[in-house]
Amino acid sequence: MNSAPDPNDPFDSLSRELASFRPVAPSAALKQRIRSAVQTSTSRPLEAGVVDGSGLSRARTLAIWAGIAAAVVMSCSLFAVRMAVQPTRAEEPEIATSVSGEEAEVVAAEIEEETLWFDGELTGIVDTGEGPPMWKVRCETVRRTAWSDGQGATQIRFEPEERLLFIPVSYN
Amino acid sequence: VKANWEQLYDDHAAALVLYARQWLRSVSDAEDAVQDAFVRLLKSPRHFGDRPVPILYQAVKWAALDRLRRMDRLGKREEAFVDPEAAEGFFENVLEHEERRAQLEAALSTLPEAQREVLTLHIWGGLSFREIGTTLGISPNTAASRYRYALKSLSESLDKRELIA
Repeated sequence: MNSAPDPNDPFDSLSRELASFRPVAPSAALKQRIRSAVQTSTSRPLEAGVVDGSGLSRARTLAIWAGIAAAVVMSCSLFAVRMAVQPTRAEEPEIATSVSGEEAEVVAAEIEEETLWFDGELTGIVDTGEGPPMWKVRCETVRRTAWSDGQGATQIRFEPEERLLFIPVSYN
Repeated sequence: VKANWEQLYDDHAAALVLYARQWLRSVSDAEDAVQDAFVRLLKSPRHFGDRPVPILYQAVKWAALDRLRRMDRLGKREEAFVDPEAAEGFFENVLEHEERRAQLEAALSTLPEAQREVLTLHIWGGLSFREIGTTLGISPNTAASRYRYALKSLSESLDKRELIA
């Protein structure tokens, strides 16, 4: 970037001129936002769970989830697959999510189908349904296997004990 | 790396935002992409390895494309298009060079994506062609070629604009 001028390079002056223009600096708040996001993001083990796009009540969703999870665990015990995810379209944000464990909670989620293959990680938006903050949930994993159920929904399998990262983001 | 992320930020934030704006028109969207990238990498510092800068640019690209796809899904893709006529400028405004800055930004916008990102990474990111190769998954020679093509295209485009002016 700062090499000596090359008299044989017809574009040397252009590259130097370009370098003389400084990119617009980010807002002063960005650094603090990153700092806050890193400090407040949490990580928790994911034992099993279901994302259900039906918009059912929490209790009913949990009951369905328990049944589905049990079926998945039993039928796939060889590979110990213990989680199934069924995201719906982004236009339908009322997706109930349950996460087992001592901090189990039910939240709404929106999972972007397009991101499933991106960099081998699942990225979605999780909204507690009670206003900000919204959360981005990331599963730091290798490439996932995903398939369609033929009705517009997508299923994704997770290995047991994977960790989901819940990262607050400032979507307003 | 986790301990030194603020230094990395200070050194590269502006270039990272510029890089993200290759895909995202607004500064705020680009900043969100940069935030996503930093947070992701700081939560998984093993991804940084011993050469964090190429990984950082790579993560910003992923985050920007991720955001673009989300906008596309929500029917808001047009909001993310890079349009220098309508969007905020790419570079800091220096009064005596304002006209030239506008010409450069317009010319940059006409470059093919593959050339523009190599140019951005090399000129403003300060990455070597080897590092650019790591970032983009191409060979250093390919990176160097794209850089030369970018400068050639840019030079021709600027010449035309000067003639018109």
